Amino acid sequence: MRTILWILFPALILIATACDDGKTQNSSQGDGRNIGAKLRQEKILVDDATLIGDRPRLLKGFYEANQALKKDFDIDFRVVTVQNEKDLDRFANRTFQQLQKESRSRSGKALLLVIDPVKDQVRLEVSQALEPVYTDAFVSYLERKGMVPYFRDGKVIDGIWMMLELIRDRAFEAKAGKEFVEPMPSRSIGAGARTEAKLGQKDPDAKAGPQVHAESTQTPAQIMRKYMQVLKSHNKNPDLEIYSKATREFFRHWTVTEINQNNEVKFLGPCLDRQKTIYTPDRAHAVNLVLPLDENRKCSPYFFVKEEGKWRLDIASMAQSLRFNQTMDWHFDLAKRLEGEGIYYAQAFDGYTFDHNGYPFRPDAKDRKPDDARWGFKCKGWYRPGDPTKMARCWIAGVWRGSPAEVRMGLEPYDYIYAVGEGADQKKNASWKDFTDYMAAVPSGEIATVVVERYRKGEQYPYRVIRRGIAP
Amino acid sequence: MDEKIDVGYDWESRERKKKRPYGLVALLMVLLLIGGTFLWSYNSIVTLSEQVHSAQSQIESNVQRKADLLPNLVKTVKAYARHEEKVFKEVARLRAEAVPGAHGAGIGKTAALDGQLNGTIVRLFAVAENYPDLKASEEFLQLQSQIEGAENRINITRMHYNDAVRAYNASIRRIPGRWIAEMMGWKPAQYFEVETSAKRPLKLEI
Repeated sequence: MRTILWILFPALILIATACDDGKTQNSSQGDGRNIGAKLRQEKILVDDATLIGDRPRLLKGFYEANQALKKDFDIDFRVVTVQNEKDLDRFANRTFQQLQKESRSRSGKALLLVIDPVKDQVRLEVSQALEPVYTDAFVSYLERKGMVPYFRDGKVIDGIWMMLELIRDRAFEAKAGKEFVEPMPSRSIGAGARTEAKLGQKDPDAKAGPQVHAESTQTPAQIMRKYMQVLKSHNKNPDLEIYSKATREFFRHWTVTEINQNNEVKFLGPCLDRQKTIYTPDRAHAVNLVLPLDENRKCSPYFFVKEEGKWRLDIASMAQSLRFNQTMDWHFDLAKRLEGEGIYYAQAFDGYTFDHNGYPFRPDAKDRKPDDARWGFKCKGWYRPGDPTKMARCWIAGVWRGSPAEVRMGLEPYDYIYAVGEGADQKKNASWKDFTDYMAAVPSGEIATVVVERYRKGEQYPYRVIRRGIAP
Repeated sequence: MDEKIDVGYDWESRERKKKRPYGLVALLMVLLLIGGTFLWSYNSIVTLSEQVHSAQSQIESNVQRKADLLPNLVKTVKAYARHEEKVFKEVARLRAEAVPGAHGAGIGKTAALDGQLNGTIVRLFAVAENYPDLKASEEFLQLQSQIEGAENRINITRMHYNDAVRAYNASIRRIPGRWIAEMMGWKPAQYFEVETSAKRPLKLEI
């Protein structure tokens, strides 16, 4: 008997360990569950009509925005798609009551968006607690002007996301104005609005509008005023002469809604008269901005490029590098700030540094570059194994805040200089002297290019990044 | 037969007395049960009756909401279709009939008022069909959405009201509810029936 136990006991331990390993493997597989499944499981997005599909980036954005709406305002926003429902209003009310049996809101604030692609209808059902904030007329306006334009372009998830953003904007106003009512059970007595979805039905007037010309004598400030008129008149023509070529191409594929244009008028209006134009030395680029930047965060900069002798708005570059937070404060996307034409516009921000989210601010005097420094970087030496003594290389130990090295070129601490110049003139394995001589010699207004190596945490081998900037 | 020892007691009568308390208790329990049932039924019917009244007031409120939108709708349509005098006279006549309003009117009168409002609104929207600028105007679209909203609320609250009426009417038809209703003079509640002419849903799609 004792012998049997001595054999069985280790075997049982081994079996238990194997089971544990299995569990660990299963839970790690669970962590890789995609965002679409998460939305379905939490019944935030019930896509019975398989209308929305699987677009991970957009679904992730929608999920995060949905969670933020719940966290900041306790609003439970859900989306259901259905096929060929006879009475969409009753279906929406019934589905609302069912889903709200397990409401995610503690105060009865809930919204349900129902889309029927077969009947081509969309309805937003509003809970009793939100009726004073999302009136029927307002919901109808959001649907028609904010969401349906995206549906017409076949961009369903984009339209739903835009609707969520508009709901959030209104919630923000309601919270500030104390319009939310006391908590109550989550139920709906039929509030909301229904609209034709017009899915995939191109709007013949979506890109309509009269031509607006740019004259060669007009300044960027004058072009801005023309642009303001374009926004106010809801002119959605993408081929306006006041737009750069890249911007026209951008607007041909971008869905512009009247609500977007109205919002831009709302924020641009107070800033227009206070804008100052900063030109690049070659007078081929310009930036209109309101100074000081850190005290005027709601006045975003506007970029201009000179084409065919005329100043034109470069909204394509702006869309690439500028972002807005929930309160419409602008900031840079630091990863995109110096891409494309961005290296030319960067000069307008000399003297400003950026936090890790891309918000500009003026550095303290002690952090600003000395007047006798051209670029404003600090080098320290390093050697590759086997390098001769005179072959000291430069790694960037620091950059002065707001200096051209930071603002124009994007040099960062722990950039290891690998090469300088580009094309046939590129010098690889650049030494300290090569680098400093190069940076001193680049003529003002010309593009300086360096290739740096950076190390990711825990990795043995570096990756290379090209840094380019207009020399001061 | 057992011999009884005479110790001065009347055994037979003592044994008879021992049986009586059980009968009394049982009777009391039955009476309590019946009384409790009646009390519970009474309270139940009162609760159901209150639910009917609450649902009715919601309907009246939504019908009044729809009635309150009518002047704005008339004004908006008139701005574009001033010469449609015949129509506006008809609308004024219909509005005059609807003057008493919905609050406290009773469900029958509320249903009739709703029907009249529907007739007026349909008439105005028919006029709007001939004026594309009116149909596309933001003011008209917003009024349209408000009227549709009121109509939808009426539909939903009507469902809730009819459910409440069904439960109440069933409770005063069952036993002992029917006896309680007869004693208290409670009558069955009226359903909110949609008028035959207005049985089609109010389609406001332009």
